[in-house]
Amino acid sequence: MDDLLAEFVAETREMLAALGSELVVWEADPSDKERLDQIFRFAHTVKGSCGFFDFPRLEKLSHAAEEALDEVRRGTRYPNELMVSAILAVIDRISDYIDAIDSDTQLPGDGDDALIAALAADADDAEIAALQKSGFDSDDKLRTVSVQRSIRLPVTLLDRMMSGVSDLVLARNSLARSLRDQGGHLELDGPFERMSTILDDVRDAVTRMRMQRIGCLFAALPRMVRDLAQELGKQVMIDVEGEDVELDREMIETIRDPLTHLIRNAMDHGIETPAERRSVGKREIGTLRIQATQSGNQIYLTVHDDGRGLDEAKLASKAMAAGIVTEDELAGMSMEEKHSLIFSAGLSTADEITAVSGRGVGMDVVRANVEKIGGSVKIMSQRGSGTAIIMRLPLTLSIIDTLSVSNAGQRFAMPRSNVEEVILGSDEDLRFQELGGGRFIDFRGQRIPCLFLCDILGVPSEVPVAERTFIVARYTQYDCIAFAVDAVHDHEDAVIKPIAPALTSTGLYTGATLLDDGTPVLALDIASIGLRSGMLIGRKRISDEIEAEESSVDKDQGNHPSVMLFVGFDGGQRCLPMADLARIETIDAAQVERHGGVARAVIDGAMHRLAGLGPDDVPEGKLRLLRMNDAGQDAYYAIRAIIDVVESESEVSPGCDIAEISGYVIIGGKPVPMIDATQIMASVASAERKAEAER
Amino acid sequence: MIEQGELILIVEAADRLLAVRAVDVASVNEIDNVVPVPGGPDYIEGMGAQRSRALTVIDMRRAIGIAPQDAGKANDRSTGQQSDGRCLIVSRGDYHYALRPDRVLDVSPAFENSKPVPKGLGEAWARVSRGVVETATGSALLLDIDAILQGPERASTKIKAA
Repeated sequence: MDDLLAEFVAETREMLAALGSELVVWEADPSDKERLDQIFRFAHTVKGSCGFFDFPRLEKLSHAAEEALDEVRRGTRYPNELMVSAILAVIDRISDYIDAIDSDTQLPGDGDDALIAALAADADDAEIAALQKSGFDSDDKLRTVSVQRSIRLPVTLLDRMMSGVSDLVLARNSLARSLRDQGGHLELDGPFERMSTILDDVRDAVTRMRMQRIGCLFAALPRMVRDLAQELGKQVMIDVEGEDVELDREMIETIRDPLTHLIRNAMDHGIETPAERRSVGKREIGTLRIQATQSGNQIYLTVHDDGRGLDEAKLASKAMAAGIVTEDELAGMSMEEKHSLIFSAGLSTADEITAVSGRGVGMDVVRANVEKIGGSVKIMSQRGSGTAIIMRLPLTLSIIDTLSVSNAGQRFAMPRSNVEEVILGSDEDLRFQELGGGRFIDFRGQRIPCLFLCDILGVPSEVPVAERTFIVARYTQYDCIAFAVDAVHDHEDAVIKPIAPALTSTGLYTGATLLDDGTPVLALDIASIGLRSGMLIGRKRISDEIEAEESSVDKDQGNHPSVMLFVGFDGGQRCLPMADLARIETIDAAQVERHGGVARAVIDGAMHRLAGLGPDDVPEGKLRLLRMNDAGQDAYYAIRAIIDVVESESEVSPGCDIAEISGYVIIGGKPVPMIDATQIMASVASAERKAEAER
Repeated sequence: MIEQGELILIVEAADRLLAVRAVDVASVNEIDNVVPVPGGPDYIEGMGAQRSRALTVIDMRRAIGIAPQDAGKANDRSTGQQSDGRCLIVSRGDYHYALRPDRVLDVSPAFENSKPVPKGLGEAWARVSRGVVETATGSALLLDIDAILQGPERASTKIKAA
């Protein structure tokens, strides 16, 4: 294929991938003008290239998308879910074309016109829905976002290079030390520095050859979840954590498929429909939580859903019917063992095998794939609450940046990646406190739980606490722990070598590194140590906070309220305290009646006034409502789209004479108006009373 | 399962002659710079190093499960003899170990095929033995290296109390 054409293919693929993901992110916050501009520029560039290379069909498609985006940019069109879906469908089609060009095959047939028609402002829902069903397998989308212009290499060659560079780095460090000790050879410094910088660069590149942030795998997930949710008619929020955890590239490729399957499973069989969730008292929006953590020399990848959990009775009977277990065997099984039956081949507990998942070949393949790379997979589930699938993957460690610390004269290595702060005991801003059975440090107004390395290791230290050094390691957004060590000596690149399982199973060490003189230095397993200390509040994610807030009887939130952030009908961001939110409703716009500037709808058999709609606002398609509720009074507030549940970064600052607004809170660094539920409910109630009186 | 003529490495621990197949041992080296592993099991002496490999150094006596002072009856071979620090280096995949006996003695071919483990060795010794082999130095107990690497039964459930 032509060089120029190859470039076009590669660049357009990159643009399309960026376009797709930016679009999904923008959808959550349509008021982000900058992002919209960027998206428009992408679309414009794609159109330009397609025209230049004389692909009229491609040009037509991209032009249609560009036009739709331009209308939104200029404010002559309101974006909605359907439009975004239509644009994504066009992006997928262009992608298919690009693939065909790349592989020199026949361009896919027709259907372009239908896609373009779907983009028109007054497209029929049915048309779009039809498009999505005939759709492009979400799986393929994950694949097209791949690395361009690559070559194949035998892995052994790569490994040889990596270990060569590892040794080079250590040799360089040793040389650096010798130079320092010798002193006085100034003319050597310049050349040495140059060599050192170049080596750092090479090392960086080489590490990247094998290791890759798992975030790259996660990047495609929001889109996949969005598409699946639409297809399944469910509402699912995805929560991703641990994007910075690094894995061997080969391993990432191997878990790509299993991860996809697990997510599909969770969304298809785990998370219930909004109606079902409501009926069991859950929030309509299901949460899918994907988390990657590193502990010892293992990586844990968890897929957690808050859906209906496994029905072990059903699972057991299906397994018996499939001949996998006998009744006697079942009788002797624990709950966890019964849950593990789901990994058996030839089993499907889905009542219908949907196109999305459930052919009974999924879970056993997941387990096989994970075990093939030396890992394991486990399932934990609770009926009614949800399911967690935990994959454990071995880690090939390479060079890690470490801090060298000591306790009682023995050196240890601590990974530098999570270290936020190193504080000397003599620092004026530091105060050490013992409260109850716990130890804490108070540093610049923040109280951090504190662990003594000497206690962790069981080897007493002779250094008084006030003279120790405190290393603050961050675990999650909310958790950090300060480790008190005798001293911090150095920071250096260390090649962490594996150590016997008998030692890693203590939960104290992840490996060992060697100093230049051959002295072994044990690498501390900060992750495990922190987890086992019981001092981490736990994975206090936003969704956990919602649970806590919802169950609190007191509506008075205290300082930083948890709020539902959304886009109002006029396109502006607003928020509503979670304590005031009873439920999220969705109705057909057709149900809304407008009389004399007032919008009403029949909900749950009763006629309700809808707040949040201006006199000229005409809803289309589906209308989202936030239901507020207080002492028997209801009010429904119409919104365009939900963004997320977040914790505000400030207290409510009152003083606003706009009706419906009680004040402002800071979210994401910006002030967001907060809806005054009480006032809205009161005004709706009084208006109803007035209307009643008049009848 | 040693055949006549196979090379055997003979070591001594707790006054017993012990044997391992020479091919199972990567090398025999002095390992001095051993750092302790706080919180690790008793039978693991610490971490050592050899040619940029981290070694887990195992005290053979403790790994077998006999108390260090239990040298049994006084015996000519052990009186006044110091250990020379030499260890048997073995590997299991990515993990490298140094097994420290009281002394490393010799390498010799087996005089005849090994015989099965006799009765009455005691629980600890029985766990790590695979047979008896005759060598130039005398009758030696053939060791199961993996059983030694695993450590005594107790170690798997009990980590050295801090």
